[in-house]
Amino acid sequence: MWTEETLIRYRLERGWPPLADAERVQVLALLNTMAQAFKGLPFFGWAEPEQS
Amino acid sequence: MPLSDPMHLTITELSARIRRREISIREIVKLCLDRIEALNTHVNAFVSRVEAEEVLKTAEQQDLLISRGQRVGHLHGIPFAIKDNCWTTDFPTTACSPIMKKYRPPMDATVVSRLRGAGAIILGKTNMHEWAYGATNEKSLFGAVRNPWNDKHISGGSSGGSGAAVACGMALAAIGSDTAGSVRIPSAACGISGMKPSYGTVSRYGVFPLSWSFDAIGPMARCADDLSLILGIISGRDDKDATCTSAYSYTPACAKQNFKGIRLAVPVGNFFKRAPEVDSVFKTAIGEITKDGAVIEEVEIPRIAEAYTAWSIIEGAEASTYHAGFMEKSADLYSSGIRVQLEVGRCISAVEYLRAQQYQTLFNRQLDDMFSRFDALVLPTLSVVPPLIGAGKLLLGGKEMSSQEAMIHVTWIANLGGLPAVTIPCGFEDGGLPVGLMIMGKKYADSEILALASRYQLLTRWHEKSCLPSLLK
Repeated sequence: MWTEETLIRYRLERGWPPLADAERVQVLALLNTMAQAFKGLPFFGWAEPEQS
Repeated sequence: MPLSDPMHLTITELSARIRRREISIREIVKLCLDRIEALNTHVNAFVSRVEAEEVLKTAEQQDLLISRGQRVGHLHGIPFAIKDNCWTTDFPTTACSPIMKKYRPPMDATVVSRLRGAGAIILGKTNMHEWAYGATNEKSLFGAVRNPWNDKHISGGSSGGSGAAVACGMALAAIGSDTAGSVRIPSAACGISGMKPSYGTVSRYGVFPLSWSFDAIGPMARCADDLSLILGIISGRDDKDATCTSAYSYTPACAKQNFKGIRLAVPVGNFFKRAPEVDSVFKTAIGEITKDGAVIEEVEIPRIAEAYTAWSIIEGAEASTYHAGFMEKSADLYSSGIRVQLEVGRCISAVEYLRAQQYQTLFNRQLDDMFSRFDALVLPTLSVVPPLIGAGKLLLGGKEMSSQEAMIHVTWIANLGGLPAVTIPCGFEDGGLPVGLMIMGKKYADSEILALASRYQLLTRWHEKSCLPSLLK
């Protein structure tokens, strides 16, 4: 999941300018909604083994 | 619309009258120009227009050809409107964004050159949601498009100007683009017919992209027969668009004699909940179809929410890829909501994008299975009544969502599947806003679903209702 800190670092590493506060809040919320939903996507085509 | 109004006719009927010289092309064009002049300030459908003198001269030249028994093609003298993301040499193409406000394309988009090649007269470019990245048409360099049935409500988008222009009789037909429903949403909200063809049917060359895995160019008109005629002209292989192959060739079909034996699936479940006023109109439409012989069955579409996630990830990543350069230089020139979506898209990883594509394959296989048992899927195009301009949030099935999410709530399915989907008017809710019926078919069943839509329009006359009497008061 994304945090304020990871989003700021991710953008800094890529040389992207800081986001305005209100937009940063919206971007974070949308990224986390997407990340949460992504977890529900089944892996397909072959088995996804547990680490052993 | 009164029967004497030529804009009430289908393109085929109007063309026949032009050939018989019962009406001149000049008269038709003049009528459109007068309506644009009278209504555009209010509705805000057109963002650039051809000079009246120039277009009337073109109309007279086309009339001259008719007097000699000649015709350029099947759209000879038919006035069209073009969404402002399709390149045109004779108009600016802005995508309704400040970033492109002075852009003059070096050539016509393939869809535009095919229309011109068939004799269509292009009256101008239509308003759209900025960069086609939104389904409400509230965000545009030129301001919001107003719903011609009730100006306090949205027109739907992103091809909102095209929808409003056809509904107001400013043009006989229009072109839109559809990545999540952007042809069907404004068509439904404005009470006209609109078609998203199967993926790869119509060339996207010369159209600003939003998401190349889903973008489709489609016709918007008063009735399904006109959509069919236009699709026959604009579809077909284009070497300039690698996805537009000769694997599929569209052949216009006639209306079905009836719905007898046609198997239709109506999706049910939490995801497909709709506003009661929409549901009531939809049920009446289903009743009419059933009475005509169709067999209706309710179906569950498993893992639909995951499919929406896959669509969002692919669309977000591709839109951000296309806009990466503009975002580096001119991020401040985007509307805030669009900038936020593009910033989200920039953070999608390759793993997420590729896994979403894998899921797309899985979901599409599931759709294939469903279409082996049914001829089409039918559902309301919009799950809610077009909201008020500026409404922001609304409730659907007890869940709060943005107007944007509510507009695309079920339309994106056809884009993820690459499927053809047509919307046709099927009634009005109590407040007087139109409700659209969406018919979605298996891939490349474009002519089959248009034939069903055409049959529905023989059974009912919803597509002949017009907003003009109240607008022109």
